[in-house]
Amino acid sequence: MKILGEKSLSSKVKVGLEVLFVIIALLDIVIFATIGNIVLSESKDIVFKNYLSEIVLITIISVVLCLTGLVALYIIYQFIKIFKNLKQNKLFENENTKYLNKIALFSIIISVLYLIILIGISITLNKSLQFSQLDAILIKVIIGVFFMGFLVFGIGIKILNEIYKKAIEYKEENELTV
Amino acid sequence: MAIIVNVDVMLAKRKMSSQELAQKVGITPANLSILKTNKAKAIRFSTLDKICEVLDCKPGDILDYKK
Repeated sequence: MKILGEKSLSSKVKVGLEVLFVIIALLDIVIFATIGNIVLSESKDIVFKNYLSEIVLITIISVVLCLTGLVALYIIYQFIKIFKNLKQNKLFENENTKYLNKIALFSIIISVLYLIILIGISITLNKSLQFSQLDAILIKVIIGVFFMGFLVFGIGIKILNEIYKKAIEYKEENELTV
Repeated sequence: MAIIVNVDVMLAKRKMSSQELAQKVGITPANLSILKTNKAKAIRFSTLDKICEVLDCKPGDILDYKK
């Protein structure tokens, strides 16, 4: 199967990423609208006021979660640009290293956002009686895995980017060898 | 880079055109241009050998070092 160029695997991946971009964008809009709606409509409720600090924390966590969605959108957009270049057979371009650098940076930003969520959830779950000890641990572990996953992904991409830069250097050197 | 390529000087001395040299050495005119304009990052021994053979000179006549 053809990996690079027109009608290849990379062009299909580009289409897949574009679909994913639209889905995440729609999800983000829905989540933002839901949070806004809950906060605005339920703020006068007596029960709501009793758990105000908890609800504020949950709102902050939800907003941070949405922010990770926005950052993920930006990362996907950078991947779309890379796959567009691969589709056009532009392999060893300095442009691609810039995109990879942004992906690495924003992955680390997402991991930091997940760390904030982890801290927020730890505070919320300790106060809440709705969750059992096991549920609380499970939620923390899942968020922790996301945090570690994005951190390792970001660092990994950063290292791969350095290898890519070296490859571009070698390619230029090869082109300028007579 | 401190290495200067003096192919132009040798070409003038031998009254040979760049096109002719490229053809005799077996490299493209574009690559010869890279060499002449000091943009080259490396030169193969085989290319240097061929250039010396065609221009009837030594590597030192083509390559110079200036600080």
